[in-house]
Amino acid sequence: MSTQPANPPGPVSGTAPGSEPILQARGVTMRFGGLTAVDGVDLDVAGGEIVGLIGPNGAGKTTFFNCLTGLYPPTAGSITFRGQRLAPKPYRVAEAGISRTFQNIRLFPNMTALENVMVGRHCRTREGLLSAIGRGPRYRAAEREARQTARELLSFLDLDRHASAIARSLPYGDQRKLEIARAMASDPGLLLLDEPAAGMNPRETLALRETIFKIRQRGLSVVVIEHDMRFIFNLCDRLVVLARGRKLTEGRPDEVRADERVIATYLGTAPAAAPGTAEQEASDAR
Amino acid sequence: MFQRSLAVLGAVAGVCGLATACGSRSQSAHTASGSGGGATVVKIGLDAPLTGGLQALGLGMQYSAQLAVDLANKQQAVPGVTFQLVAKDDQASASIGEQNAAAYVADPGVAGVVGPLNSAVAQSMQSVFNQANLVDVSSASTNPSLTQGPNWKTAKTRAYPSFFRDITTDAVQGPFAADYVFKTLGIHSVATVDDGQTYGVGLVETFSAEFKKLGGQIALAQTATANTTDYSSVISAVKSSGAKLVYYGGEYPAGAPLSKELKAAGLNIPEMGGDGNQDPTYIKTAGPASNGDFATVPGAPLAALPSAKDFIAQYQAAHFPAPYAIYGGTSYDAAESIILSVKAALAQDGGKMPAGDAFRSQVEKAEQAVSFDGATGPVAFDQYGDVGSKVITMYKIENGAWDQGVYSGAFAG
Amino acid sequence: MSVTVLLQLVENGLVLGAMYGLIAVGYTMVYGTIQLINFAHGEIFMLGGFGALTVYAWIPGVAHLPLFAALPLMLLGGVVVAVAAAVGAERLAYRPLRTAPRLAPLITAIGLSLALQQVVSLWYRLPGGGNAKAPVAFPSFGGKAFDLGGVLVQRADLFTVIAAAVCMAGLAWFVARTRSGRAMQATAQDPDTARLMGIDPDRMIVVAFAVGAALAAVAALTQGLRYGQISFDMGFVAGLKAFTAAVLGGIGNVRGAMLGGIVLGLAEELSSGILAHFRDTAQYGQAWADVWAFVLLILVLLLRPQGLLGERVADRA
Ligand SMILES: Nc1ncnc2c1ncn2[C@@H]1O[C@H](COP(=O)(O)OP(=O)(O)O)[C@@H](O)[C@H]1O
Ligand SMILES: [Mg+2]
Repeated sequence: MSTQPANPPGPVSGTAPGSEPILQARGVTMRFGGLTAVDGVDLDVAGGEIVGLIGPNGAGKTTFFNCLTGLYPPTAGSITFRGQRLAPKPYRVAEAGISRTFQNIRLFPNMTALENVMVGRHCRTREGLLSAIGRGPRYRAAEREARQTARELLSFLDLDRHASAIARSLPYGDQRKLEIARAMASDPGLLLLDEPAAGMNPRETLALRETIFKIRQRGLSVVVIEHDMRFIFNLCDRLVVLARGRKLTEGRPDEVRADERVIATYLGTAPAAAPGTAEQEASDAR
Repeated sequence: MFQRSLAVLGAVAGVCGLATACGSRSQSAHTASGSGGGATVVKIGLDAPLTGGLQALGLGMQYSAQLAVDLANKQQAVPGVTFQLVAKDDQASASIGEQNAAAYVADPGVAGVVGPLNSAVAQSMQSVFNQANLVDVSSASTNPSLTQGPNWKTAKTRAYPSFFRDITTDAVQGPFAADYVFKTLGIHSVATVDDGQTYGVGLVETFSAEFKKLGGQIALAQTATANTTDYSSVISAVKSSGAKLVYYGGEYPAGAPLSKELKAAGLNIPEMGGDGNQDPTYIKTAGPASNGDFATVPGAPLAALPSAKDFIAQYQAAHFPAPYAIYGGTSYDAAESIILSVKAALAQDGGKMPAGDAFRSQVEKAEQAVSFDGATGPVAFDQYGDVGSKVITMYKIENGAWDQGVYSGAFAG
Repeated sequence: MSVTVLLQLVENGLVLGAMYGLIAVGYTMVYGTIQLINFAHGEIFMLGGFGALTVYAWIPGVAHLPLFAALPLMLLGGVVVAVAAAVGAERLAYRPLRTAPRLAPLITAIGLSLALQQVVSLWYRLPGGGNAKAPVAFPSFGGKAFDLGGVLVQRADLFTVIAAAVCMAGLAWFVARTRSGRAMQATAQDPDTARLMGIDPDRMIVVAFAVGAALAAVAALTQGLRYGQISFDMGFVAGLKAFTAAVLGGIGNVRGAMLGGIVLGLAEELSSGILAHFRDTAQYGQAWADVWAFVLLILVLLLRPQGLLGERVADRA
């Protein structure tokens, strides 16, 4: 078994002092009727940082992602990205540069892998409808550019051979990777991964970690939710622990691992939790 | 006529129908207020399809009845009484017609109603009228059972004492056409198509009975829905049947496409219909291929009748926005007959107007006894409520227009 | 019953079905994007017909052109009117109800459909003062039908089939090969995720309405050419049939709509044509065509509730 790998270059830990965080979430709160799923959570993410978001099931991790991406307008709190306050509209958030994957796979099931990635590029391309109907030069240039970028991303994630396969026919692990490719197509500055290793075998999980490092090398920040502790400890610069909607603690992986509260509420009860395949899909946002 | 398949839509359509009916009512009220100045206002209803496919015919009915009312007011036909025409649009729908009938009954000022056009609409209106003894004189519904009961072929009985009509029935129209086809045209094999409605089915039935009696063959009998314009399956059946003429029971919005498609499919055989087909729009839709098609209309051609000269002149002088069409003369006479009945009913009571129901019964009695020379000829009703006339005219399309009538005569049976 | 007659029925069915399919695409696209059954789509079809007729009747000179030269202009007029009406309806009637209970837009659609009928019937005018309260004549191809060994193919039939094929090819290209088309597909398959990709759902909805309306206008043109008339209420029956076709093919599925249209057209023509052909069953022919069409619909839905090409989808909460 591999020992802790040397983290590739990038911010080592904590929010590097002085470097302006690209994401600043302040007091994000989400209530569903009487239930407060996310309760006053603050989160800063620096450029090029990989942050792990962990916590027991139902802690509010997915809901927090939904707030960040505008799927749920938060009940309270603010989200600032690259210095701009974000409106809770998903398509504006995508334009601003945040994109995500889903805990339960949400590919466009009847489109090809390539088309899925091209749709991911939607907000970075412009095409006059009229130019398309007339098949004008602008349409052709935009179409070529989108196709090239999509192909490049597919090969980045080692999915070339599936380019023209229908998304729902792909193996499970590849569907997860396709979600990442699609999310990267919008040239985001921040990538939110919701349990990307769920349902992957150990080899795939290992490869995924390398992929995420490579993503960071492209200049992206990453926030990743995962239950696989070995994966997360070896991947992240910093961990944030959520429990019942609140931030329990945050810090370097070794700090968090030593924290008694974390051991009590999370690690202690479910050490090395199995990848959450069978987890409450229902609680994932629609 | 336009059979609504979805009850919901039908109901909402009914509401719209009412809305348009209201529109036309205010219009006629306006015309009425321009003329005459009696103290008592007596209303005469007019129900016809004023929108939709049969509008051309319906408007002709409305304006002709309007003319009768306007003239009566101008000439003070009934001293102290101003007549007012209340027109309602039934959109050729039996259910809207029934609602209109109920509205007429509910208005105590209404002394009688002219219309409707369609036999199926007339059918649904009569029980409403009959319960209230409100006289209805149809100037266009030609199905025999309306007056002579459902078993009119074997046992005639008067169906509704309050229902009258001053137009010849299909009992004459169908056989007259059969006689013409067999004897004059010398065609012995015919395909029939009807629209499944009271009028169309009745017309085809009477035609077929007479045609078979003469020794002719009905090579094919088809029913098509009234709202169809696609006859391809019918036409392929007609084609293989070898028929030399298509007899159509229905009205021109569906009858004209049949003619067009027949000829387009290479079948150069004429279509013959009843009065429901005889309209200029038929030719416009069916195109040049309709040359040689036929249609029968009850009564002699109005333009050729000495008795109608006055009506035609007055109608033209009034500059109505639509021509009187084929039911103008009968509608004018129907309105006239109600005016005369009102006059007779009032005379009985020494010029006073008796209260509601009693008045309507008196008008009903007077209508049964009415007798005058109208635009279409002498008007008087027999024990079933029919006029005695059995005259029919056969029209033919020549050079893109209905001719003046190729043959006109009474059908003796 | 000869083979020629049978083939003729097939020809009729294909042509009728192609027309149904063109209209059905509009139902299916709008349903696919916002789960709305746009009952006013039949009237959009009707308006397309009147748009085409307006170009023919009102623009000086068009009526004197040979019909094949006038057709593109008429088509343009029909498409412009239908698209404008559909987009306007979406903007003014449906969008404000986007978050209302589902019944609200449905009732609105029915009301809109009646309103559009009344507008045309009350206010449409032809040069010379004619109105549209009764069916109005539409130009049609003169000339003889093509005779393929006894099977007659009308010029308008040929036009219908070619128009439908071109439209479907264009649509396939649009959906797969353009940014808007892919975005529309994505919105249909998963609207929330599509929003996260930066797709503005409002724009996609407008595109779905517009594309559906354009195809309906093409269908209206073929209807006018085939029957020589259009009328303010022609959208009712055509709309009902096309909706049936969309359900038959699997509502939400564009290719399903065309397939459903063709299956419906064939079923209608073959059942009524064959029954009409024999003396004993003649009375169950044309008048029962709709009955057979709906019997087919019920049978298909019993066996495949999702329609011929439909995906079995979990209900979206
Ligand atoms: N749309 C929703 N409506 C109501 N409750 C929700 C909704 N989404 C999530 N929740 C609730 O919020 C809590 C947090 O859920 P979630 O964010 O999915 O947890 P996690 O991803 O950490 O496992 C759960 O109790 C869940 O039931
Ligand atoms: Mg979760």
